[in-house]
Amino acid sequence: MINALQFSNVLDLPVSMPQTRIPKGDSIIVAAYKLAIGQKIQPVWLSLHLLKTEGTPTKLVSSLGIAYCGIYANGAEYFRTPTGSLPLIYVSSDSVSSKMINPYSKIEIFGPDTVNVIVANNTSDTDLDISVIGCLRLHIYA
Amino acid sequence: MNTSFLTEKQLDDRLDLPLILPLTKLKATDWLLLGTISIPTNASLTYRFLQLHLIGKTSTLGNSTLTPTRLDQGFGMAYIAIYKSYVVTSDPKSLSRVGTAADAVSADDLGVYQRDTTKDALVLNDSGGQYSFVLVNNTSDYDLRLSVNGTVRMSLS
Repeated sequence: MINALQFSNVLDLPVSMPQTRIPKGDSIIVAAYKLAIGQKIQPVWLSLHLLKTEGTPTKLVSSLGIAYCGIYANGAEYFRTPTGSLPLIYVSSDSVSSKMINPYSKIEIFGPDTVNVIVANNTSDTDLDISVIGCLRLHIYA
Repeated sequence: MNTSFLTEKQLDDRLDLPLILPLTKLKATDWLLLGTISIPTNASLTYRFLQLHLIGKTSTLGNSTLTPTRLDQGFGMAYIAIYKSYVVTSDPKSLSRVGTAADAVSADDLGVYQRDTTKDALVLNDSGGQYSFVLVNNTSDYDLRLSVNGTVRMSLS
């Protein structure tokens, strides 16, 4: 059973980006959380809705979809153009659709660390409309 | 009243997903997707709380004394509604909404409006169903400044 102390040490941190146009080759930091020693984060939900695209976009990183949202540890606050570095966990899409990570498969990221949630337009020639919803579960005392 | 305790498994399986829009200008007749949530197998979504703040309005005709022309007479100047399998190119005003009238939040004028939390929560549990929360400017002659704050609870099992 969960006692009151355990319950008070668990917080759901929001990740939310309403419909937003991301220019070609660009990215947005949707959320950034700094973890202290003894804390951990579980990405329990991350969904991406690619709303609009045109033509046949050219990818910058072939192993990812034309749009992706991923979680990076070790600080990635200077991230701008998509590179080959893969996020720890990500959701990726190549067409107009809504995709999500598997919410039953939970990874854990332990502090100290800085965790960034980044949405990227992985094309060199197409602006994309994207929305993201997510939830990172913070355990204050891991 | 149910006074049972939560188990760790139950707590693990429940999460709150945000529906947030910071102050945003939405042009007359336009709409914006707040977010889309897919229901995993054996999961259910419970929607109870959502607030819509109509912060400002500007007449596109340059006359702020004009009564706004509403496109859907069933709603105020702006509203948020839920749509299934939504495609952004479709005008939400022409689509069928999910839930009851109580599940759509409508703003008649400047101010904060919210879903009535005393009404039964909307529970959605069809596996694979994709539900989108869409904010609509329901006027043909006013640009609006809006913000949204809400949450839905997902139960994974």
